[in-house]
Amino acid sequence: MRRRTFIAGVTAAALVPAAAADAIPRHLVALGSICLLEMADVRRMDRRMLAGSLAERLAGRRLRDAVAADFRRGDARLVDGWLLSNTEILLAALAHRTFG
Amino acid sequence: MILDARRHDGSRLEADICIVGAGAAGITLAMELAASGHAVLLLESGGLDFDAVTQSLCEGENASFAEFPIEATRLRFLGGSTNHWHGMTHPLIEADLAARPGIAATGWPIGLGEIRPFYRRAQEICQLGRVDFADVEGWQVRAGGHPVRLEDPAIVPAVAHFSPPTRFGSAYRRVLERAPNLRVLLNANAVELVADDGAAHVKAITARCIGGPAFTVVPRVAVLALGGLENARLLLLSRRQQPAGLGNGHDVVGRYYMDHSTIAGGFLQLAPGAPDLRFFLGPSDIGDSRLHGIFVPRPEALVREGIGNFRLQLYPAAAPSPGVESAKALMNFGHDAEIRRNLGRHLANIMGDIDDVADLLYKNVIDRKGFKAPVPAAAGRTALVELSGEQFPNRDSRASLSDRRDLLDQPRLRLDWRVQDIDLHGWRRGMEMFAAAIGAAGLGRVRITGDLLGDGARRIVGISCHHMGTTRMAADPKAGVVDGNCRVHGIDNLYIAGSSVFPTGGWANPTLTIVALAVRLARHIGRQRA
Repeated sequence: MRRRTFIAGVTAAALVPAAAADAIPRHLVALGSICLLEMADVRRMDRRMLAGSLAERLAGRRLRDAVAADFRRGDARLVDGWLLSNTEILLAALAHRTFG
Repeated sequence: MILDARRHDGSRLEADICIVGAGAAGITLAMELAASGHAVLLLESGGLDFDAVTQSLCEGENASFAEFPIEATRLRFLGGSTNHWHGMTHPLIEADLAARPGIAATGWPIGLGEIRPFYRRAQEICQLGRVDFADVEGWQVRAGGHPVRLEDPAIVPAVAHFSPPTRFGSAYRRVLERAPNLRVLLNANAVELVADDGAAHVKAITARCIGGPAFTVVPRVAVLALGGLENARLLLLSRRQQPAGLGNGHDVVGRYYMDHSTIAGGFLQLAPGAPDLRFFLGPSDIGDSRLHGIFVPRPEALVREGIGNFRLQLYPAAAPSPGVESAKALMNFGHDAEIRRNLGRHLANIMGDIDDVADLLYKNVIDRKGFKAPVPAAAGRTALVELSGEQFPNRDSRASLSDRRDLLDQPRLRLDWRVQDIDLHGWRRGMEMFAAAIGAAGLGRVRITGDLLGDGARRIVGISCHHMGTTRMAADPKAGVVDGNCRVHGIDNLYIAGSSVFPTGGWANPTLTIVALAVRLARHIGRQRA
């Protein structure tokens, strides 16, 4: 737990100013934010939804458009009752595999 | 004038037009016909106020949904079921009246163009104030918000208007009292229609009072306006000339019973930065209009999906916390076998949501608000999504006569309401379509309740008390009870008013269309009598 918190802290310390300065691609910020949520152990299934929406928020228009296009095309699945776009499911699964 | 049938001397009454039932349809018909100079007799089972003894005539047997309170879904006194009407209105749309590809027994014999001219008068009668069902964005702006645009191929915002709601009995009592050519007879229960030998003409209506006299009405024209269940029941009770019931030569009376489902379909979690959805979370009062934003499918999406029409309505509510639900279950029903079987799961839920459970315990112990205290919504960012959906016609879903008898020694109603797999499929798809539309618009995410997705879907289907279909309209007498003018097939002077004539129901609450069809029927009968 201590190790995860440390990694989360370091990642956050790197990501926040980098994101603010637009120094790194926004989708990396999104991925990082998901990892932070994973490590901070946001409760139960809400984490996937929160991760998705936070990712959208941070990653800006490009990812938002990708997610919206997923929904419009029907590229979405029910996960514990949540209808999630395949892009956000993929991102969440990647983060979970890396840090979960 | 308004009279009490219990003081009637039992002599035969003659009537140019006799309307049976003084609810939304009956009172509308009576007012419209009386205003155009016709002599009208309006029979009402109840009095001016609720009476438990009279109301007991509504009791019946429930064959499939034991918790369905048949007697509580309608009211027997002046004004009928408008006395507990919620007031939500919306007209039917063209697609509601169209035959649905591949779905049996759909399609009205009339188009929307036959009803549309009468909606305006219906809106006045239902006291809707300024009405514009089409100006969805305009109403949102007038309510002080920014228009929500889904730009979705399947789901769009819409608006429903509310009646105050009009209690027809009290709202129009003075009109009924003062019309010189209108007699209202209270406490008069029609128990049989007596036809001629060929069952082609209603000669008389037999009426009785509880504990009082029986008498006969001889009408030139008779109109049944008893509601979606009792219209069928009175036809079935009238067996003297046709053993299966009057107008029931093809065994259609009472069949094809439909209601609108009411389903707590899931929760909407708004995304950070999503626009204000207040217009969709509760009624807005704008001038003399009361409205509520809703979401509905596009007609072409319904055809593409092969499902019935539906509406989605949002209510401010907290998303359920499994831990809180488990804690409440353990505290309130700890003796239940199901709880004991799933004890491990409940304890895991509680541990997972220990902060919510602690909050609940604090409220219970310190604030003494009890275990029913709601968990607060996360800053108003969650909403319950309620789906109200159309059922497709099903011949086996039916109202018939029971072996049990009521106070007037008449067989009670037996209701066997069926929900088909195709209905459940449509309601699930409706939630999925809404979830996709919300996701595509970046408004948030929707979690669909597991019960709707799993095998337990039937358990969560609620009723709307919209009784439809039991005397359905069809051009072919083998397929329906009334024709496009609401006249019972094969009987020259018997008409039916109310939602029992709806072959399909769309999603719209039926009262506005009931009133519009009653205005239309009044015009038709007026022309015939002239």
